[in-house]
Amino acid sequence: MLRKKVGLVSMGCVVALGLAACGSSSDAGTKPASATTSMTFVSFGGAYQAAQKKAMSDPYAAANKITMNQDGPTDYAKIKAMVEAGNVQWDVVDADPFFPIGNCDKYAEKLDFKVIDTSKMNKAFVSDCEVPSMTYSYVLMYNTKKYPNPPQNWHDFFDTTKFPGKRALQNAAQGGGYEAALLADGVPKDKLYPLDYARAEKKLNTIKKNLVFWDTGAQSQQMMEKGEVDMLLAWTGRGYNAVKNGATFAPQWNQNMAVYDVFIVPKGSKNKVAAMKFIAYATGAEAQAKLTEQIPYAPINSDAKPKTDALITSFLPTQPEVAGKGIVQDQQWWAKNQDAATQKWTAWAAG
Amino acid sequence: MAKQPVISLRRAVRGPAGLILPALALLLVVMVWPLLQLLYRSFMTPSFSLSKYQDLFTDGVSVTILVRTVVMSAIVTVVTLLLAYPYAYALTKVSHRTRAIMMALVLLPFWTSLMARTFAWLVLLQDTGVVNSMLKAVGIGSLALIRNTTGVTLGMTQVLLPFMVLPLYSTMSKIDPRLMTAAVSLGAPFRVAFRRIYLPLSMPGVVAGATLVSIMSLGFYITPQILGSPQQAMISQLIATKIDRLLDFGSAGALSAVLILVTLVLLGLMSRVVKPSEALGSTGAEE
Repeated sequence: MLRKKVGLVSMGCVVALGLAACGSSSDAGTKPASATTSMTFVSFGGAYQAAQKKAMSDPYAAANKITMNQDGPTDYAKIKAMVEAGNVQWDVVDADPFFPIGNCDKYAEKLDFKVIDTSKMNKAFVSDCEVPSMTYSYVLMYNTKKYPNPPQNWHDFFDTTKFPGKRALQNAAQGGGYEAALLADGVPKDKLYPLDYARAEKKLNTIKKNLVFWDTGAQSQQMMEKGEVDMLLAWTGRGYNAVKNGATFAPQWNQNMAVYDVFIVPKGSKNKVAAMKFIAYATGAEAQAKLTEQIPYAPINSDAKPKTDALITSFLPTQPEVAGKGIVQDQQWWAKNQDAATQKWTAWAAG
Repeated sequence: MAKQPVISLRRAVRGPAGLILPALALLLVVMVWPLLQLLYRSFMTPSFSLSKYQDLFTDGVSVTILVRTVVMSAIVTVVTLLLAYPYAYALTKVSHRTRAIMMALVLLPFWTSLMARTFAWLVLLQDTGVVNSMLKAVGIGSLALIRNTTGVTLGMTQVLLPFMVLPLYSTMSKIDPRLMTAAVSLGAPFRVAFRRIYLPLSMPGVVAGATLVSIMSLGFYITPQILGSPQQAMISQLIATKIDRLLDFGSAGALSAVLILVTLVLLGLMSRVVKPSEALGSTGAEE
């Protein structure tokens, strides 16, 4: 008898748990926007989100007397699941541009440009559902001890005779590997898109024996600090961290690829109005300058004048010395071809 | 006729079987239900079709990775078996105190996080890591120990070793040592006695251990991700790419279905060699 009771009670708990979860989701979404007392900011975590918290979330929360919850990391599958379940918990998300471009009005809200001022932003970085949150570059980082005569461009990156040694690329279709291979093979920068996968893979195969891959920014930094590779395609932020920690590496700005993160509002956010106001604040000159003072990502607001030391400045794509040397990844093309390109890249890299 | 099942069901609930009901209910809610949803999505795209399954055969990568996953699982199973068999045998031969120490060494991995251990391997095995520095000092030069199959095998073997040692020890400790003494006293060389008496008697442990290790290794994600390169990518990583990057829950569901199928086939094959009850029973500490 007692045994049976224990079993029933436990089962009841499980059922109750399920009901409680259902209950909490059904009564949400009725709150008027004006009554926003807390909202949730989501980004990629680590030093980046900590810097965003200090430069954007904390001052905004203090000035507007609301609670800014931090969550993360940014997860597109989670956004999709939240939107489809009609229970969106995230209000402002720092994301890759392909996601809002490809899913505008589907998983991302259209932004209110009456609230958000885009006049100081690069127009190439703005579309209906996204505004830039910061900008950085994919650069060729090379070991200055190994190559006193530095590699000049992606062509040199693929030249294992003149520049022997191990190389690294990011293991992601949009990680710059395709573009680097095509530029190295002589494709002019205005003819990169649509990407010629076959040509790029043929070029990539020529260095596959000397090539390793990194998945996370931390791994790429580790590779530089431990001297695991002699040159690699890296994010400028990670390049800065590695050099600051003593890695003997330097960036080659020729043919760098400008990339950027964006702010989006997931479709069906319960705090849409407040989210737009926060984005307006976070893309303002003051918040953008503060961000760059925390972490070496460049401001997207041309009025922002961060006070940075020489080392940070040398890793910012906005420094005057590097103007005009790079290319910009075509985010519109990438948004349309993300799936096909990822299939191609995965098959190539894993094959 | 109709009354019989009702009575046995009630008896089952009241009896020892009732004790597993809470766990079963929890599994139903947090595992079986989401799994069914994922499988449902693999067929409904949005109307019923097998296209997600057909894609697996034509996308040029899924089959490669599936085969690689099974091969990797086989390699890890063989390596753990080769390491665990003598270790488990030694466990049955040593004093109580030594056995306690050796057991603690086997169980140690359970007390540290998988993530921490995998990163520890990275530090040890990388080109400029501890192992390669030592090798360099004795003039062997640097070996490629990570971002290849060697690294993944090392990492997975260490994680899975306890799952091989414990069932083996459990089976071996029940083998009557007098059988071997008797065989040797009747003139059989130790080698023959081992092969014809000890080895067959230890088979349930081997099968139980191999089943656990091979099935667990099919689903590995973190270890190949950190210690391997894309050329060592396993099926879990492909599923993660489908969900995280491509938002393609249907394909991920199809891959998961294939993974479950492979697991069931493996279980089926193993149960033909040894009765499941026998194999599972031997993993229990006491009988």
